[in-house]
Amino acid sequence: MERLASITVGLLLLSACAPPAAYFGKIEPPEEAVLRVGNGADPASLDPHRAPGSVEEQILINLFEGLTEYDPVTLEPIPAVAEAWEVDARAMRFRFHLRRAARWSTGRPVTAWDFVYSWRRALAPETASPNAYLLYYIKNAEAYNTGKLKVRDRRTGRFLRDEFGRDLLLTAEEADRIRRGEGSDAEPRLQRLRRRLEGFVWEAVSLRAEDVGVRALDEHTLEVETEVPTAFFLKLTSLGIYRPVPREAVERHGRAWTRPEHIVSNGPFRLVEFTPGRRVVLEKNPLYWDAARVRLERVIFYPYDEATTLLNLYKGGEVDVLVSGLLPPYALRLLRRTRDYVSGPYLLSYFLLVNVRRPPLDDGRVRRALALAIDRERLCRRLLAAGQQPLGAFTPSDFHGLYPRPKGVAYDPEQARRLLAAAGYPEGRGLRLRYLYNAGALHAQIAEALQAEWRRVFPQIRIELIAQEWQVYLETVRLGDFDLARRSFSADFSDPASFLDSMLSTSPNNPTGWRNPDYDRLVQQANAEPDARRRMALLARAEHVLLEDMPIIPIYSSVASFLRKPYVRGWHANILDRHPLKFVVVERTATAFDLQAVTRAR
Amino acid sequence: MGRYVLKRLLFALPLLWLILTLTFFLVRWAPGKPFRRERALPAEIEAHLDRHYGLDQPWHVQYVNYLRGLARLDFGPSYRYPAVTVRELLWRGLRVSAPIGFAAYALALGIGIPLGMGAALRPRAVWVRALMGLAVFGVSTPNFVLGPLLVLLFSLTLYWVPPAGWGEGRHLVLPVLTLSAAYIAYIARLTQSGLQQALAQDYIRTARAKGLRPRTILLRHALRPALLPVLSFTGPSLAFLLAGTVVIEKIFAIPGLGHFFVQAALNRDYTLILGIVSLTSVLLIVLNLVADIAMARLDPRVTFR
Amino acid sequence: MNALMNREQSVCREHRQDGEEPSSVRTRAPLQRPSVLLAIGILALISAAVVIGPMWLSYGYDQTDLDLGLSPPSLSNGHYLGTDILGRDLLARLLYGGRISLLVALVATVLSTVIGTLYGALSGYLGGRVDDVMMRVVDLLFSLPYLFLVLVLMALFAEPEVVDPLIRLLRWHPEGAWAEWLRGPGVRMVLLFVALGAVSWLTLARIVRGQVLALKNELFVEAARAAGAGTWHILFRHLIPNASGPILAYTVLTIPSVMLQEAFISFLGLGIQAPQASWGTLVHDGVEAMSVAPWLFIFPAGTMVLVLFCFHVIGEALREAWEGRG
Repeated sequence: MERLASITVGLLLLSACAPPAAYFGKIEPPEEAVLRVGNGADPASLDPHRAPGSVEEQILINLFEGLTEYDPVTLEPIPAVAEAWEVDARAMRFRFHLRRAARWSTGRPVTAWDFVYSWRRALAPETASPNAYLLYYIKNAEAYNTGKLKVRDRRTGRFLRDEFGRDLLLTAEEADRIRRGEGSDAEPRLQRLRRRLEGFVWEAVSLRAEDVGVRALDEHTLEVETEVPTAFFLKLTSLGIYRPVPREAVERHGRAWTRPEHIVSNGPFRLVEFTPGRRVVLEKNPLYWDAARVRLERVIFYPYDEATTLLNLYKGGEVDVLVSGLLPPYALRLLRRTRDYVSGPYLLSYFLLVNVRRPPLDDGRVRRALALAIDRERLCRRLLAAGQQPLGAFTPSDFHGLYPRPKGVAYDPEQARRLLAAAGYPEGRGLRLRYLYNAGALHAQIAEALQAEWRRVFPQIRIELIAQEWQVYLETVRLGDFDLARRSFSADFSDPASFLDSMLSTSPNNPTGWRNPDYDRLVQQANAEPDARRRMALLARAEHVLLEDMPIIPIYSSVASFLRKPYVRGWHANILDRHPLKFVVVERTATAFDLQAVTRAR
Repeated sequence: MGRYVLKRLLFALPLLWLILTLTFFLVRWAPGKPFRRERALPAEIEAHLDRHYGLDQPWHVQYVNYLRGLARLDFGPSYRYPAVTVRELLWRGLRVSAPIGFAAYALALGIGIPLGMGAALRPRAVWVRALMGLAVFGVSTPNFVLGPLLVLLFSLTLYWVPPAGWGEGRHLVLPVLTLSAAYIAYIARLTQSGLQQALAQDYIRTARAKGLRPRTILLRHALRPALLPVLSFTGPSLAFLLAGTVVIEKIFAIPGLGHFFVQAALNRDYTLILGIVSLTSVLLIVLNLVADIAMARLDPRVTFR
Repeated sequence: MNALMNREQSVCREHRQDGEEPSSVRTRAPLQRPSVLLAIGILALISAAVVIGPMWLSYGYDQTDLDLGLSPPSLSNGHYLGTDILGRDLLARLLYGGRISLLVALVATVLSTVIGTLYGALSGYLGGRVDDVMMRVVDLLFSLPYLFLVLVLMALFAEPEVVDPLIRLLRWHPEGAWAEWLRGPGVRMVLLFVALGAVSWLTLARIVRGQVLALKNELFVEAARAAGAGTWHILFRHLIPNASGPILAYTVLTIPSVMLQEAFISFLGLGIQAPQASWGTLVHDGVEAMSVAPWLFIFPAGTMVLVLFCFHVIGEALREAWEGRG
């Protein structure tokens, strides 16, 4: 046994003692222009309208090109299928001029009709698109997707609007019940609607695909109308769900159209292989309008999710780059010192949901006391160690200085003790809380660290940690059966609204039971505000309201951190961790990247 | 014998049906649902998804529909991979897991049986005790410890084989080694104890008295009954191995059935879970049947009914 | 091999229990070999350390100190085996973890051995239709995704409406911390045992059945039956003792598999709850930390391998002693 231990130690020392500031593992550029990406999971679907998350997005943004593309560094929209666009003064009408050279991989030109078809398909209830909500900014999109009814004033023929200038929407059931005069005081929404409709002669109208605010003016001109002013609409047009799908393939092959043998795409790459659990292979698309710019011949995405395994593959030179979030937490301490390590800010907030429905956390003082008692600085430095930042607010970024983010809570144990004593729990006596999280090393460590933090400040507090299996956890959170629950939330697009929308009283992502009409009003007002600066100010006021009430306890904002071989260029750390491969290059001669580095590593 | 096999197979059908039915309701009863992610979706969108996959219908309707599909050997689409059918995933997974399982078990038999024989015949020999010690060490070492240690030694220090991945023969080496390590000692022990018992039997004494050569006695008379415990152990073990092992497939990033099962369980991919469970059951039933038949062949004391 | 000849031979065979067969000659009784004594000593030492050791420690298993996170083993700061990422004392966690691991192993192994032996023996002995049905039940249980069984049970037993009547049924009125423990971690612990015990006995049942099938037509069994012995008498006095070699061999091998499964279940969030630890979960975490904090891997993995190794040595000696006894 001792011998085994000493051999193990020897091996570990061998492998662990890399010279500082050197590259990590084997550096041998692949013989062809191939990029091998560790992507963390299998794509659930490569259909832009059915793909649920970032794993899929990372692949399909290279297969399908939207009106705009992400800038690889700033993520601002840059021309793609649309070569130019115009926006009206109220940010409600957008006109896109499509590139005549844009082609599907069958050779057929990409037209404005393709976008009309695609967006209508994405919204069609039969498509069952999980991300359809990202299209709700377009006029009538939500009503069409959800099957809700608009309300027409029969005397004027105009549609009624709600207090934020959006179309008033009813479900069919609500319309019936209001007509029949039903609805008790226990149903505030129905009461509100009834009051709103009082005195009108109204009819409920259902919406069809043709009513959605997207039109082809001609083959190469697309016009979009939004529900309310949407200053950030251009950013949305880079999202996966806004990307076009090929009508002929979709209608011919149904659910199987994304299989390599059927797929038709318009992006810089095309799909040649998808073997679940093994890999996804893309090849350069020769018919792509900007093919001259694309330098990679092949891209392989590996779905492996075991962090240590991926790291081993990277070290052995079998993988060239890892997407963010796949590094084993322990190994980070070594990897941080290698030259492969890249990190930058990332739009992800790690926070705790607080159940405000029941005592003791219905008391704002208790919530604040818990938030004040956490030394986030130390937590980030000692435990997380990848460059995560202490987070006092809900939004993780000031968006390049554009957003006047409130400062939020900071570590203040004295104040925390005072508040908790004032709430009737001196030293935490009598305070029992259940902290819910999903099983996993990182979440367990954070939970244990927070438990210790609270115990340090409030010696008598009792925090019960409850780890649950992933789906059980999701269900428990949804049902609101927790006192505190860990949660991380990442942005869909780089705007504070992407975070703040999630805490609206109507949002499915707000299981805390917290509702504040002021907050709802400020966020809705901001969302309808055409002036960018005023809009940001309104959002900041909303966030201030949120942080006053503390239905969430912020912990830290995450970082994009990954490893990248020295011969990979054009793969940058950015706030959404999106990497359009059109701009990525694999240098195949040592002189072109860093000869010195290689010799040093050897 | 033919009748026996037929009877067992006829027995297997209701058994399969029972397994599938229980699993069908078990997975639906467990908390969670397909298509639930950390980012919660608006209720209407969730309703669309449920409707699209028929999950909005009452369980008994879903159940009847599922059985109807199954009658045509249609396991339905995977919820985790909507563009891929469950049948396809099963076939792919089996083509990966089965070679590893077979290779590992063959290796374990190839080392374990001779080792067990050695231990029964020459229990004091140094080489037997050393090898037995090694085998016991192998079975004492959890595979999630042994796997990473082998990777550290053979992939990251000696650079002989890749640390993970799938597709080439060299990818087989480490998973097969890790997997078989847990079985060598089992098989050696079962062989050894079986052989010791067999050698103490009277008919062996009779055979010896008749002047048969020791080799003949060992191979023709003693070994056959001695391998009975190994055989009855082989049925379920092999089924288990062929159906993929979660830990090994995770450590070595192997796209086998174990990998798919974990994916399916975490995502509540009902159809894929049911598919894997039925495949595993069929494997188990068939392999147990084969083991029982082989057992009867080897040991005339066991009779068919 | 000629079946007929074999039958004749077995007719000649005497009942081994009668002790007429000379026991195999051994230089020393298996249980008195130095290696076995050493193994027993090590296990006794570790068990003692696990039970009373924590009382002597200056650190609790859940006492964190972020500033001391990942410090290597040291004699000077009292963390003799180093600390984990939260600055908790590894020695304390190892000892507390040992309590859980050894308890789980003990309970699940005993459960599975008892159930597996009885079930397999009964099935093999009764034979015919009963055997068919009993073995198909084993196949059924083998095939069920027990992960979901645990999930459903956990969900079910998380409800006080389900747990409280059960507790009342036992005519037990726990109060205070006991009641809390029983409704929270206690239920999970029991379910963990149930889950582990429920799957571990299946293989053993098949093995025992195979042995019994082979033995039950032997003369000594028929003789016992002719003498009017009951089913249980034949099972316990004749069949199970004669199948004991493989049973013991397999039982010892159950212990590691139970420990591994406990680690896997806990890893999924269905087993023991943080900040508690078992050897399995410690090793699992240690594997990830291997390159940065090797002590987090070496000590738990070393302990676990050592303990399992000792179990094997003892089990092996037990088996030999039993077989040599005849």
